Amino acid sequence: MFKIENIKRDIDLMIILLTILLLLIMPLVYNNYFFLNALFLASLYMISSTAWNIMGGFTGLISFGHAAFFGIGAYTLALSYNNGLSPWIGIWLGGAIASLFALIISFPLLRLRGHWFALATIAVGEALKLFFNNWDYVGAARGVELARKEYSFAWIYFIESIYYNYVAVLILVISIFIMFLIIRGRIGYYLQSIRESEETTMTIGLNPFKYKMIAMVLSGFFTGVAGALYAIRYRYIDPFSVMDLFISVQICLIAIVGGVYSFAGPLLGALIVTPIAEYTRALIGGAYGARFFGLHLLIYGVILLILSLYAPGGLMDVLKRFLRGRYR
Amino acid sequence: MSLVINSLDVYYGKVQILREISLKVDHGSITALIGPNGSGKTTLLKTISGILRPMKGSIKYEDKEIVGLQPHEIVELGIIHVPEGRRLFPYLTVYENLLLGSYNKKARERFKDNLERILTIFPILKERLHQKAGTLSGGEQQMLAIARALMAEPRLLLIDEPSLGLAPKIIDTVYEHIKTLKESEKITILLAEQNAAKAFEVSDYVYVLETGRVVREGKAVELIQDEEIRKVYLGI
Repeated sequence: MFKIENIKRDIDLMIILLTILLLLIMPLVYNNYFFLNALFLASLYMISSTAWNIMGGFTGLISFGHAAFFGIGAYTLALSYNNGLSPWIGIWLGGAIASLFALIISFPLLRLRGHWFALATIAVGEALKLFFNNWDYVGAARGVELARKEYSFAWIYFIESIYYNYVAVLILVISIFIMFLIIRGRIGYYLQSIRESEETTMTIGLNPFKYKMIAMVLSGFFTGVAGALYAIRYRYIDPFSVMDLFISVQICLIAIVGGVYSFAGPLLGALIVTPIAEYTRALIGGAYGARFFGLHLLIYGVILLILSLYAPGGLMDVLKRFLRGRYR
Repeated sequence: MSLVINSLDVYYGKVQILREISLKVDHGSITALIGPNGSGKTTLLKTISGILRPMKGSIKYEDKEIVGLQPHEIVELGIIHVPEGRRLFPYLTVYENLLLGSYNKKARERFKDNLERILTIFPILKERLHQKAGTLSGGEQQMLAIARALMAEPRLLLIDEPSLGLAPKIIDTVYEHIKTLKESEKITILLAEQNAAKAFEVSDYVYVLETGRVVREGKAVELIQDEEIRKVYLGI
């Protein structure tokens, strides 16, 4: 799988490697706080949108409730951090708790199909947000602030924000690598077969329910990891910053813009959409009190419109067509 | 007896599709279900493979009741369903389709041997091994659908309309292969077929279904002599 010639032929693997390289080099080239922040967010969304893609792209389970997993990951990290647990464990614990939640909700949710499944995921996400908003143990609407520790690698607490970028890249490399192996292995085929025809998968003896559950648990895990990364970087979370519907929309939008049928689509999507989102938000509006509040969402809409007209397969599809035109 | 079905009733919602169906499939035989559109052939096969649940009645496979089992449990018993209209995974390659076929544990261990054996039965698939399944011709797709089922090491194969949408010459090839399966692989076969002439030609025993009931049954060689059957189903 990892021979040089194979990597050259494998567009997904190429993009993964190039993206990681870019994330490693860019902070050194252009060390600007705002830019570093955009790159950090891009790495978060790379993890969570790739995780979303396991469900939405490979298995055909469209979810608009990934903010729930994201938020659970963030809260798990924040609470465990404040109770003295190392964040290096807390990040993965965040994933684990999020995947546990995914496992629990998969029983009722997977009884639903198609649009109803998608609607139910919105309900789960929003319900969880309101629940956290009123749950005193987790600070309710006040949110949770991460305790101050000594500045150190061990507590992932830095003065220079560039270090957070490299922590994110490290977690990204591990997460993407694991997801890549799973999707390219047996389980990946099983998930795709469910997307293509659930009835046929039954005739070959596969239990679709079981594999849809596996997809949800995996997807929940890595989205939770991304949420934990958010918490460790911004050090303050509340239900509206980590569990809002907007996060769910962002996660799935990035995956769709990037291209859902290929593994590396979400990476490409995050790399392009997140900086656009951040810059339009800061420059034209969106920040509370700005003159044109919400204008960045309008721009989002326009980008989505253009893509759905000219590149329904996402950026990945455009890239593939371009490469084919050139090299064949 | 490989398969014994007793007074089976199946509904889609409130509509009754199968009424009091009883039939038997002998070990090592080819049994055909014939009948017009909407007579319940596909429904019957789907009920046997566990995708649909009967309201009442029993299905015994090798003396074991299988009504109520999940589809994947039924596959593990060795009953494999080749669905109507071929239902491949069009965006996966031929190889990947076959890989998916050998899902259950026992078959997975013998994947390599099975693949080699099945590719000698269907040499055309060997040439197409790394092509997307959706790019195959109709006949090749039907063979792939059967080959995929064989990868699961079936003992009873349920084949739904193997001739659907194929040219007469290709239909002959597909049925040649089906006969091979019975003779050299010792697989019991139950097939649903609208092409009655072909069904009579290959099968040992035939059931005639009309509006969800078994209206006639008999050995293929005997039933084909029947005046009414000849007139209605064979047009002679």
